[in-house]
Amino acid sequence: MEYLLHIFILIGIYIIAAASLNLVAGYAGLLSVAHAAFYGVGAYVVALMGLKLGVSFWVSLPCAMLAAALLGAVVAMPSLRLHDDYFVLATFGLQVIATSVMNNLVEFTGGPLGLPGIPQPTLFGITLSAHWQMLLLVWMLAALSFWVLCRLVRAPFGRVLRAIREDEVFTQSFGKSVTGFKVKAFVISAALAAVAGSLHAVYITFIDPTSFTVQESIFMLAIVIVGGAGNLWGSVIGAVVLVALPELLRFVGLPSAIAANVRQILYGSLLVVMMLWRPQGLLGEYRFD
Amino acid sequence: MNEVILECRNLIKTFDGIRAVDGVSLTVAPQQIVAIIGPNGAGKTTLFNLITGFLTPDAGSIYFKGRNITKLPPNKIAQLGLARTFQDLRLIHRLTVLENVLLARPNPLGETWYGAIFARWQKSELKEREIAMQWLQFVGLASQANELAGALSYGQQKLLTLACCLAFGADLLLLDEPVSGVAPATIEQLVDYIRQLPKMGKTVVFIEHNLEVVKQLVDWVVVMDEGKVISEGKWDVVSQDAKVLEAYLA
Repeated sequence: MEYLLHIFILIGIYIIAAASLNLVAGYAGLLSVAHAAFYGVGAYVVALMGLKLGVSFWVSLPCAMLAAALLGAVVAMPSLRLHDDYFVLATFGLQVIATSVMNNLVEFTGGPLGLPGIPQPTLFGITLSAHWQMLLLVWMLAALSFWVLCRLVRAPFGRVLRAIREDEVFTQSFGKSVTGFKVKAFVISAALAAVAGSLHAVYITFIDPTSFTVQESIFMLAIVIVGGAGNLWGSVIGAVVLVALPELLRFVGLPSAIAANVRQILYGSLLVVMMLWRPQGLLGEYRFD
Repeated sequence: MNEVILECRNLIKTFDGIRAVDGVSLTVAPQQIVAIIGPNGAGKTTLFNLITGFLTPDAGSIYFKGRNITKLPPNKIAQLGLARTFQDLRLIHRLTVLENVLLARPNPLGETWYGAIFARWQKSELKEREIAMQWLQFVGLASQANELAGALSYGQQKLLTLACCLAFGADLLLLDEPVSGVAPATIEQLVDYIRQLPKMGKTVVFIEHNLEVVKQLVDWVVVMDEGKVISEGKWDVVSQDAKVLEAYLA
């Protein structure tokens, strides 16, 4: 039972991460592989504020969002002058730098050894340590994040993002500030990624740089693509598929020595198959051609 | 009240040593219909790109409604009341016909990120839809409102881009080859709509190769060749001008 709850908690966290990435990658068409950097900023801010300053989760969470938003703004402005492949490379650079900072600012971040013993959130004096309590917290924040994203994409704001994805010149010719919209989408996406990262930190109660690498960014992007870029519900389905599927392999009776590798093979093959058979993902409207 | 809505003074734009626009000066009065004609490569579309801010001139200046817009970015120029269509017919194919027109609407509620999250934009969206539908009705595309723009025929797409410019509320429309590649029935429709625009308070400058259309519509013709204006005036005068006949009409 605990195991099932664990899976659902992970799915909830990845829904927040993937749906927020979908806003920039799926709706605005900005293929970013830096999402785990913002996810990581969220995790580290909450962890450090909790461990070193004894700050409550409810205060450190908005701080984490703000930190990620600021980083997003600082990074967005130069990167968004670049297009297509060059933009992806710029985000790749950011991601690698972020992981490197986490690894090397040892006095601050604990370096490769990470930060153990992250305090769990408390609500009215109760520590949310049980899996079902964490599940409720994660799913409430997931629902809230999803609602915010739904509002954004259904409103004229979302329509402009989709137009930017298809034809920036046309969009500009009707008075929209294309760079302005891209920066705002990027910043909001970063802030929500930080929410996911914060939850990761207080759930696992231990973080280290290996959770916030390029591979993690690519995993989040895979969820967006498999579920469907340009469709928020796609990120929900994608998260379920990509989190649950490898776990199901546990029950297939593979010897544990090869199980981890088989999961990687499976996840890679799934991506290849999807790109060949249905590049727009299960529910998506956009394909990264 | 301005007697001049658009003024270009001595515009020069060079690409790799070739002067695509070579000292072009132009004046357009409000509520006129002006055509810019000339052979391919004359610099007509480059001139449009300079006026709309997609290119910056190497020399010269551009004034719109009395304001110097020479160095402004395209979106800021558009916001002053200038809309354009593109020679390669730009549209958002993956959005519906109605969504394309809604996109052109200026500053609807819910277009800012905080408005999208916190404001009650659904109601204002309904009003925007009504206005958008009115413009679609004007160009005869109301029944295709929910089709993807990419599914329309070429001629219908041209009508759609006109509807977008009108829904935007522009005072000056720059139309780049509005009837090229379009079936005769649709040409008649487009000519009919464009003819009505001055009465609606709008000014139109368009590039065209279809001289029949030019003859029917315009108050004033500007002829360009090799980056320069070689002649301008009323159609009857310009069409008899020897320079024009040699460069283009003959």
